[in-house]
Amino acid sequence: MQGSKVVSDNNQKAGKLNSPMPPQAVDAVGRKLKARYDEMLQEPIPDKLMQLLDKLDHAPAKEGEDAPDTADRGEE
Amino acid sequence: MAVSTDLKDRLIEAMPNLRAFAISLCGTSDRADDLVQETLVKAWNKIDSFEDGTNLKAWLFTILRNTYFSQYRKGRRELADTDGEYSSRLSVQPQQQGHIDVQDLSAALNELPDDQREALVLVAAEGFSYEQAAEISDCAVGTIKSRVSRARTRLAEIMQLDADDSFSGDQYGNTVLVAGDPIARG
Repeated sequence: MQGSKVVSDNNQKAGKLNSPMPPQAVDAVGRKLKARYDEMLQEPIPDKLMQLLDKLDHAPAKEGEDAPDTADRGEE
Repeated sequence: MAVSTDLKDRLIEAMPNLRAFAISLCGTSDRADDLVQETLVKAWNKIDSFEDGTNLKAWLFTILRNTYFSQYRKGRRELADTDGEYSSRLSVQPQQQGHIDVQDLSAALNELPDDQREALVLVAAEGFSYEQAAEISDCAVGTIKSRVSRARTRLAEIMQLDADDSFSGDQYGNTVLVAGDPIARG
């Protein structure tokens, strides 16, 4: 699959200390990270967060930065 | 009222991303949900300062990361060290390749310094541009670029060490040591 431009082990052995990792390994890690992140995006939103939004939505509009205590806790 | 309903919908829409970012920063989902909760309350209460037409997600991410760095960061280390509610939680999904990779990745991510982890997740996972990430993190674009690059390399190093310690432990170990990297011990 990723054989076309192989950065081989030799490359590392010849290696510069500054970049000991072959680019393909670095790319692979990037892809894994993205895949894992996308999995997290699929997770259902916890109830307590939805409840918090409901609470905020029904609380009287407030202009300051102070959150109403009840909303801050989310639930009791 | 209509305005708040609209806002609510938009917050719901952004919620999965906020959670994923929060989990990436915090390392545990409990703390992450607390962080998201606090972010939502703050966002709701100062929505007036949000400029319509700009990127709501970026605005929310900014609030979240500021909250994290001012309040949540401290407790992080000790939690991270109690090896892995994060990792185990992430590995629960069997239909995704139930591979060790996922655990390794989460553990490795936890090894990164906060600022590198943040930059990497914003750019490589969440897909913000370097410019957007710089704005969110309130630093220079060049700083973000170098953090992302260091984080990528470091992550690859850590994971390679974990995965291949039979095969190239010495080689990588030495290399990493020379580079002054503390993870080489152990």
